[in-house]
Amino acid sequence: MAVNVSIRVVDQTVCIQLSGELDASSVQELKGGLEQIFTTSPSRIVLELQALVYMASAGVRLLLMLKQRAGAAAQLLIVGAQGPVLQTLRATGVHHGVTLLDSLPEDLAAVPQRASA
Amino acid sequence: MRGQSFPGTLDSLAPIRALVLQEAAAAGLEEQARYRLCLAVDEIVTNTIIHGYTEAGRTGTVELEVWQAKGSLIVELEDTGAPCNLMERQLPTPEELERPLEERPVGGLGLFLVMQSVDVFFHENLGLKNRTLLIMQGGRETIGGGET
Repeated sequence: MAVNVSIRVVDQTVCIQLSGELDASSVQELKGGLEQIFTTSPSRIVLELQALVYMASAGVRLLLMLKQRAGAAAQLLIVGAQGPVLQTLRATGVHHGVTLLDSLPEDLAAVPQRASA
Repeated sequence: MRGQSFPGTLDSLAPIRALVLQEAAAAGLEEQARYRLCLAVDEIVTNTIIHGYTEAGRTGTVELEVWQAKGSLIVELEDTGAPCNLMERQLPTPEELERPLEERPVGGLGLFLVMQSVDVFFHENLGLKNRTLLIMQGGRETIGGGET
């Protein structure tokens, strides 16, 4: 199982939906495509992980990279991380630097999701 | 005992995980333990492929063997990549794990997750080979025996 990504932009927020498995191989495939999100200098990045079933340290490093590229002032929200993926985020301390949510913030939930990858 | 040789490329990560999952399930490991073992194997193999082969300008294979002994499930990994002394790697400190994400050092997370995931981790360099053992010890369930 590889990883699937879909990205949508809502004002200054970039929502990235990741599903499948995030390992060193799939992160390598993803990375180039994610660069585009920084052209708009988003103030908020929302990672939707409801359908992500596996995350290796490469996935954690990807999150660190996203936050570092977005800058200290930008917010990183992680929505729907579950089970062992959530455990990995906690074990590696990522939960200290992000907001973990069960569902999308209201302002985003209201926007119809038409994904553009 | 189940053994297989894989190319030392990132394409091998998913099939290796699939094999480990299959063997762990057959051995009676419960779901969380299967995930943890897969994760640990994945991290070691990723390290081998990236640091042992690609960055060192080498190519080679990852040899994987899985077997049961005395209520434990053992995964043995061997490669002919550049020597990397995993036993001496620096792991992130608790303080580092709490830093703001922009200030986090990125190294050491893979091995850190290995340590968190398995009961026993052993690594050695045997001259031309690197060898790693990952062991999940049987808990309440009996690995390899008993009724589930």
